[in-house]
Amino acid sequence: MDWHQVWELVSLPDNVPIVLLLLMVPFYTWLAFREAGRNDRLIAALELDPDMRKTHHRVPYPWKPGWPKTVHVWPHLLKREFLAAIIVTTVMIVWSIVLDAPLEEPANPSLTMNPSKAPWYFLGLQELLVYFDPWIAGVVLPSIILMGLMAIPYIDVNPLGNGYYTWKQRKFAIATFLFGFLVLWVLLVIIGTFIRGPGWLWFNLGDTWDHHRVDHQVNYDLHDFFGVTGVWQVFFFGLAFVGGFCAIVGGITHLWVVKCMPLMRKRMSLVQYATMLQLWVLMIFVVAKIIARLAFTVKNFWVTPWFNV
Amino acid sequence: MADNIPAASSEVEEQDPVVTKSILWPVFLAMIALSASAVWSVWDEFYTRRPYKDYQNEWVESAKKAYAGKRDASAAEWARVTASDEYKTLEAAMREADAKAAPEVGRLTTQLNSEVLPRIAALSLPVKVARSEAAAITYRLEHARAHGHADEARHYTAELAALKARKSDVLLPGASAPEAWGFEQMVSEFNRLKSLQGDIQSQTARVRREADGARATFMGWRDAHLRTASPAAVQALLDGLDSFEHDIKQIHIKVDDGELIERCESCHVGILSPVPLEASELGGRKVFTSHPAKELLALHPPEQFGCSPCHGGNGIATESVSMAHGKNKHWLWPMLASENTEAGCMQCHKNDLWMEHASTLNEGKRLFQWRGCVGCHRYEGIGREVEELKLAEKAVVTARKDQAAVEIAIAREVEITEDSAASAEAVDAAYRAATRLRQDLHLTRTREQQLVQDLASLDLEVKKIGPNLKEASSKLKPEWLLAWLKDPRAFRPTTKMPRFRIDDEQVRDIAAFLWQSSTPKAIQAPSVEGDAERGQELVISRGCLACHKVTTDEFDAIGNEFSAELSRMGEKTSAAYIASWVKNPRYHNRYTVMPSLRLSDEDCGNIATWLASLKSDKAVYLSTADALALLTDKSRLERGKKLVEHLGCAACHEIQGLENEGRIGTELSEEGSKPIERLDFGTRTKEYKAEHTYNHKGFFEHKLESPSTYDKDKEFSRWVDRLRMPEFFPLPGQSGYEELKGEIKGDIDALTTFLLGSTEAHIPASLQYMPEGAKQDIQQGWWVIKKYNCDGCHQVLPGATPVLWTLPIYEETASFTGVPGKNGRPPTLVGEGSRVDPVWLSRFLANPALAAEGTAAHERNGVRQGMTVRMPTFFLSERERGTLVRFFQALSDLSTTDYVRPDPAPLEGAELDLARAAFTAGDCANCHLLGGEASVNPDTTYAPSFEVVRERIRPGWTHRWVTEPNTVIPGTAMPAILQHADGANGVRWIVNTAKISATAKRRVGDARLKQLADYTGDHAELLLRYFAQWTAAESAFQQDARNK
Repeated sequence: MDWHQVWELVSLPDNVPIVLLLLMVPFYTWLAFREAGRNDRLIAALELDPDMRKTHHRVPYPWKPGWPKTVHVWPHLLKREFLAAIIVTTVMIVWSIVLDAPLEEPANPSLTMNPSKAPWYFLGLQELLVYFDPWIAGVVLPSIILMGLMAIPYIDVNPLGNGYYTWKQRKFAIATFLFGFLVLWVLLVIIGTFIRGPGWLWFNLGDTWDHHRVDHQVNYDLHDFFGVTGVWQVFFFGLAFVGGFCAIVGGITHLWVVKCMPLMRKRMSLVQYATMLQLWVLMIFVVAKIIARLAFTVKNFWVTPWFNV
Repeated sequence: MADNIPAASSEVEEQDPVVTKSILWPVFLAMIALSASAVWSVWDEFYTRRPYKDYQNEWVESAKKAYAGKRDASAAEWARVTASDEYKTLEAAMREADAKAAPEVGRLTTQLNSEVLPRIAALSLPVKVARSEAAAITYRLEHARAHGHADEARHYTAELAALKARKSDVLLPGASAPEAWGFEQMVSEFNRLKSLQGDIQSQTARVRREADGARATFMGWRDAHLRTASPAAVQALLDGLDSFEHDIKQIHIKVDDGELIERCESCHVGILSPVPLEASELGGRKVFTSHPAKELLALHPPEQFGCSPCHGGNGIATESVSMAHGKNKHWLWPMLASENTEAGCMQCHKNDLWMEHASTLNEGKRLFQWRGCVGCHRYEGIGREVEELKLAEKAVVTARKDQAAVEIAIAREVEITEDSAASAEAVDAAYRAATRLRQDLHLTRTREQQLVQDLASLDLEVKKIGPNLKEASSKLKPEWLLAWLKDPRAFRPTTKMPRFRIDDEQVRDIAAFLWQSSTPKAIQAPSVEGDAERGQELVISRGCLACHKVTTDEFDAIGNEFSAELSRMGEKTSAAYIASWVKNPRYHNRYTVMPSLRLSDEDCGNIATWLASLKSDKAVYLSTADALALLTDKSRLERGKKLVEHLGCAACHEIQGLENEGRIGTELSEEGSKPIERLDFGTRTKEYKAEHTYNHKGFFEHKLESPSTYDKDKEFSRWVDRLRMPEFFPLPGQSGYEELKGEIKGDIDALTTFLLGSTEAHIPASLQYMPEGAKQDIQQGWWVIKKYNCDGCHQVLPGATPVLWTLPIYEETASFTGVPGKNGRPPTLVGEGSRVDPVWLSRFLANPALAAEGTAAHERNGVRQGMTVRMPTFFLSERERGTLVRFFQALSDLSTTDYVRPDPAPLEGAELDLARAAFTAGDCANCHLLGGEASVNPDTTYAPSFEVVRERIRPGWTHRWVTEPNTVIPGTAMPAILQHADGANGVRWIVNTAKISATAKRRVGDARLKQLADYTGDHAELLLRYFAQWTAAESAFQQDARNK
């Protein structure tokens, strides 16, 4: 265990936000679930009382009859936001005093730094480059992610759960979000920051980042496992696999939705439902590809002369 | 929304806490935290990030103490000096001269102050106003005329006339009311007063001339005797501390397109203190000391050059010591460690081989060449002869190809003219074309001739540091070769040859290849059997020890390490070979710097006999037969050749079949700025990072210390994948390491300094040193001087001590019999440029015997025939001779072009007799040679021959030399026999009768002496003219006179 290396990584001003991320994301996730659990229990208890229905979204000071059901933004919300602003400003000032901007040497066009890393918030995307073609990882996937995020308000047909913590009322939405955010974003950022060393090789935390490390790793395309050769054979093999994979994942998801969340299916139009399903399948596909690569040394599922997936 | 507002109903006792709960305390606490962080940020900005403030406070305190001490010391020093008689005398003289001039000066000053200056003051404003108005009108007038506006021009002419006619009020001093003056009147009076002012001032200067002279003498003497600043000056520094401004001390230099900002002085406040300050005077605080190299600083004023261009570091940073010193990660130019400071000089002085203030760097550059680093590692500007030679060779080939092509073209045209032309015009055209081509051919031929000449020159300039191995089998003893290759330092601890990491089998392979690939070379051994004792004497006295080291009967390993130590030569080679080598080194190795010492065949034999007898009785070798069996093993040839190629032996040696081997090492010209990632620390990265030697300095030091260090822990499938660089110094633990530890450290520091300085220039071009003219001549000259070790025998700079001079036989008080002592030293070359004729010097360098090749006289010394030590015949190219001549001229501040040898009026009759009398009276022939002597006693007659004076010496120098020899070469044996006298035509030099020896008096005769005393001319001039017409006949004449 090279503690010096660990300290170097953790103390780098560049990486401090990620160290904070490492602590704060689990904390807030836990907090959200705790609040959601308390809320859900409260909801279950009060739902029977017609007087108390729809008034039970706050655990600390449960609503009492006679109280107004809504309050004004000013001053009741803004003063709390003001408090938060002060605290955040204080934290930022202290941060700026304690940690200086991590400046490096003047750029040298004839020398690329190794490892060469994007800003921390892009490291997840950079990590995707390991698993996908550059233009898929760098252009297609980010575009779909952005469009998917933009589409959420139009897909989300669940009227419940606005403005309070809950799990029971938004299981699918929350689960999907946590999967996409924690696994596909935070985890990849953390891998990109702490795990990927010189040559973008995999260094477990505590391994020395040695520029001369030599690794043995041979990855195969999926068709190699099946002995498929020839451009078109390979193309159709890949197409069939990817198509089949998507169809199976989509089908299972559909059955799951129909069986467990009929209300959601009923509320959604076909376009909404198809969009949701596509995004969902895509998300699962990305994760499947990452797992296949890391665990089974599979390079690509689908190899074509133009792109690889 | 009114129904949303909770009613103040009594039913609900409790209000919604979201509405009612106060968050005052959290807000209050957060505000406190915010204010505190704001205060902290201000504190951080003004104090934490400006550590120089503390330094400056501390500086004021410690500088006050230091300056107070300095002031007292200075006061004491001044009191001592001012109390001396000479000071008082000079001061009195100054005061007296002042007093003498005072009345007149006073009168002039009064006149100036009372009559002239007030009137000028009174007139200056009205004159200024009127003149400026006139100038404006004149401009408009000219403008109107130029544009053809006649009306306007007339208008302005009238206006100008009106202005000149206008009267202005002038209130003169002493007058009660202003007077009305016209334009002309004002201007002419003003001009008159101005010129009067000038007159009075120059009169004052005339009157004060004597007083000023006395003052200058006084001040000059005072400055020469008082090295410290005056107590008043130190007091002023001390007083200045009271109003010390605490802020960033910054030098801002605008250079070229950029700018340089240096804030080093913010902490190093005392660095430019005019009074030297040492750490001990500042309470041990090194940060405040004054710059230790004052002279260097004077040459490179910080306000022009800054600090970081030389020292490295980040001149703009003030945040912390490590930031300012550039020790933080990612700063590419960290401050140089104290032992490598001189690396900074390389920024500008890359082409200077030798610099006055950079001894470490000089040593590094010397070692880089001397140890043969440049054989494997290309370095811009070092060892460029090799590349030039290759280029020239290629150019010759191209030129010859061109010629052949042109010849073919000519033939074709000629053919047309003769046979196949269709018409008369075609014949004509072909004829003209052929003529044109012939002209081309002529040009190409001329170019080729020029190139061939260059080649000849370059052929002489290319040198290799190791011996020629093409003659290994006719030179070396087989058993020695095997032992030598195994560990050269075991045989010769001072050798340049490094130790290679090869095993016994590889040693045998290499030796076998060298042995079998070499071609036998005839030994030109004149006589091998000689007198060993005489040989030893010759080696000691002929100057061999200026380059070589040897253990003699009396002394252990004396001499120089420039070339091989000769102490165990007998084990290495035969007497016959040594004799042949000494006779003509270039015959055996055309790449050697060893000159010919013009030894007789007999002397060659003597030297060879002695050197061949030098053997160590402890050495253990294989038997010659066994060794020879190994060396002639044919199966080893191929393997040996591969090894020799792989290890780069041809970098230093000439080897059969490997004449055109390239350099095998990395180019090092800009190694100091190579990105650290490209320096291969191998598996030692982590270890050296922990040691803080993961940087350029560390890389070079580790590599030089143990060249295979970066192979540690590595697994090699092939032997040749290992690092090749051999070991230039004994490794820790090896024999010889402990004794040489200090020297090794010094050498490694020097080389590291040199390599650290080998960077791409990152300082602006306008600050770099690009000498022209004389300075460039000096720069280039050093390369030749060091290449041939000229300074092993000669003193080139004042104060330098050549190795040869330090030998016991040349000691000042040498008292051995037959030993030359101080007067037998090779002459100093300080002032050589002003002494000798440049044309003669070039000729002398080509042939120091000053005699035709093949004559008996060829073996003699050209100038100082009496001396045992010889100026050998170096194989210098014409270019190198020119460089040396220009070098000496430049050192003497003389340009090469302006010297024409004067032709003084010849002496005849009585004057010639007088000149001869003066010559004899001075007893010049006592030490000097006359010329043409058959034999010379070196103990008494060691000074140069008169026969060469005419062509050799510049008359101006001779004049100084015969009159005041001690000012030319301090401590010379040359007596001053002339003295100063007032003559009819001013000051002249006459023979000092008191210094004429009795013998000389008798030789000259009283009558002649009387005539000489009556002669009204300058005796020095007389002697000069006499020397200028010296011939062999004159030598004979003087010889006769002496023999009588």
